[in-house]
Amino acid sequence: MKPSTYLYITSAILCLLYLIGFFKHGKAYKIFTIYLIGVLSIDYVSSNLYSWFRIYNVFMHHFYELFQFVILSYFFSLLLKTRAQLFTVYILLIVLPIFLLSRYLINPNLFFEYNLFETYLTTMPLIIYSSMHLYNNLGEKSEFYYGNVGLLFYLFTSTFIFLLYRLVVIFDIEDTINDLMVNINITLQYIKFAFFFYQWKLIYFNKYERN
Amino acid sequence: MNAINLENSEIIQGVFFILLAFISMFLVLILFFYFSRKKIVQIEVDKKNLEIDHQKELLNSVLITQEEERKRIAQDLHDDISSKLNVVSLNSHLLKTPNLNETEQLEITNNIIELTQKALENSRRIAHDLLPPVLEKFGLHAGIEELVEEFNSTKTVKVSYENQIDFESYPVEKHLHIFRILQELLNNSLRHGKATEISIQFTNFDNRKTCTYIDNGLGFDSSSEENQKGLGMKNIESRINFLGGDFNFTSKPNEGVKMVFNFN
Repeated sequence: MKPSTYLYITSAILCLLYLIGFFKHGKAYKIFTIYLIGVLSIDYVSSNLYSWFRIYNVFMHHFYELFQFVILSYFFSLLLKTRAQLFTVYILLIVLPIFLLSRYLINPNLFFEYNLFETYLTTMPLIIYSSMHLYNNLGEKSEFYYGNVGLLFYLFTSTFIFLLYRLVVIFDIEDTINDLMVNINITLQYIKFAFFFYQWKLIYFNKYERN
Repeated sequence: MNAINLENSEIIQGVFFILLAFISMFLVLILFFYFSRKKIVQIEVDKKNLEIDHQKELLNSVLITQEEERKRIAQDLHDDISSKLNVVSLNSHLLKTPNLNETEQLEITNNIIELTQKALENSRRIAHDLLPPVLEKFGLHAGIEELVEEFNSTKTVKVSYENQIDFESYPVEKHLHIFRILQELLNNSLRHGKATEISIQFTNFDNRKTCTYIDNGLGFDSSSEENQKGLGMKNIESRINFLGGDFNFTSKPNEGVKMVFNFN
């Protein structure tokens, strides 16, 4: 099996674990579970598109980024506390998708190209929200602490991977580098999942922590 | 030519976004640390303020206790000594009256003798209550033994006392604090807890001196805020603070009281 298959299996197990307590826990937990399932399905579909329909998956990447942005924005809107923070989250949650979608309406070709600007616009706010959440809970017990750290870690590193990947494509560098980046991405995802597993363990085995 | 230009612009774009991402993440980091430091300092200040408030409260309770103690001494002096001496003075004046027969004189003198004896006894008792002489003369161990004996002699409670610490090498000025803590605990157990069995144990482990106090009284919910604010408990706390130790107090309704404190 390919390394990515193991990753899907890990991801699926994680989704199942999070689904166990789906109805018992709060809204943030539910949104987080939906995010995990969504990412798993988009990843799976996009990686198999070529073998199924002979289509390249570039446009799925836009789905992935937009989906991640919208659902994680909502997730952080449930965790963040101050009015200013919530205001920022809500405004961007409305303005950014409208802006991006209107770009595609004006120029539909953009949909089938890698778009660095979009990657930047959709992940940077999430990194900021994640840092805000860390900041809010300095010195106290935090909701979704490890989940948040995992997200922040992956958003940080994957943004660079995506941006670098673009350069690799432009420069038309050998396949070995391409493979290397895919493998780095898989490793990063495993680290992210480790954080998510630990977060799940904390929530599941600690009945007092209702997230 | 056009293709090369296009590729160039794409490279520039790629590099630009990587740089932008670096810079923004760097900014996020810097801002995060800047605000975090501010917040951590604020948390520290709040903590210190809380500590100061607590110290103030303790000091206040010490002052209140001091005043109450003064009131009690004043009342004791007034009721048990002044009133008796008053009657003695009256009787002495009576002795001056002319034409007293012998029996009357004898009666008055007996009265005076009896009253002065009582006043003397009372003043001794008051002095003893204030500072047991045995504590000063024979040290803490003997002082506690006497205290325990006093409580045992009431027959309502059985107090057991064990000690592994050599108090003779322990600073004398700290003896009184430990004595007062035990006195307060014993009084509480008897008055509020209606305890019938109490155990006091001093242990010395790794040069850490610990006292464990357990009673089988009514107990109370020690986790509730209200019960922690008693004057007696505050006094005990400030004395333990003074001894440079800390304490752990647990109690549940109908399960008695357990107090463990250590001191240096």
